[in-house]
Amino acid sequence: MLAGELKFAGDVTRVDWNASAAATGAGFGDAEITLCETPLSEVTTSFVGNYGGNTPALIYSNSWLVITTTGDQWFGFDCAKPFAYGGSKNLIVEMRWRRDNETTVPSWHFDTKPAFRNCAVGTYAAEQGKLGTWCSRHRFTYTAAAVSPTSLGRIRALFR
Amino acid sequence: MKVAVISALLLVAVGAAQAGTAIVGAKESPQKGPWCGT
Repeated sequence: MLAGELKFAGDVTRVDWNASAAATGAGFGDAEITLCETPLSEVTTSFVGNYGGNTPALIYSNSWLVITTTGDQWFGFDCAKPFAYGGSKNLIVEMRWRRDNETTVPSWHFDTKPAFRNCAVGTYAAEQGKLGTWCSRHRFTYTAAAVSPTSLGRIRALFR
Repeated sequence: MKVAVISALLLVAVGAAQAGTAIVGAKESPQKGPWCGT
């Protein structure tokens, strides 16, 4: 996601995808979702290279994740720990799993041509992926920073 | 001589965390995945 698309800074507490149709019992083993800020504006084939020197943060893990949707709806995951997004860099949403039950969750995407905004591969430990000019539609739930500083003032005036 | 004292207490800003949501991307293309079982 590009910073210009996200338009916020704050602590991300939940990430959702947008299902486009029903899916029943799609199972993913040892599923993990990470978020990572990056200076890159489009991805390369290197998963690690796409981090741009930053360290991804694990926000969700599940030994057996099951996703069921009834149609066009958001489905998502609360962050185990809020992810502090600074608002100026771009953001990589990455998920991986080791096994599945061969069931897919159809989801809404948007076109990013000519920019490569997706990198995927069917092997868990692969270092390189295949590029795509699309991106998943996402919803981010966040808590913005408090107004700072809070101040209390006193005005005293003397009239004569 | 008239003397008046006005004392006012001002609450300049109240710090409070604001929750929100950001939606990125339009519903352009329904596709398989990315949660795509193999």
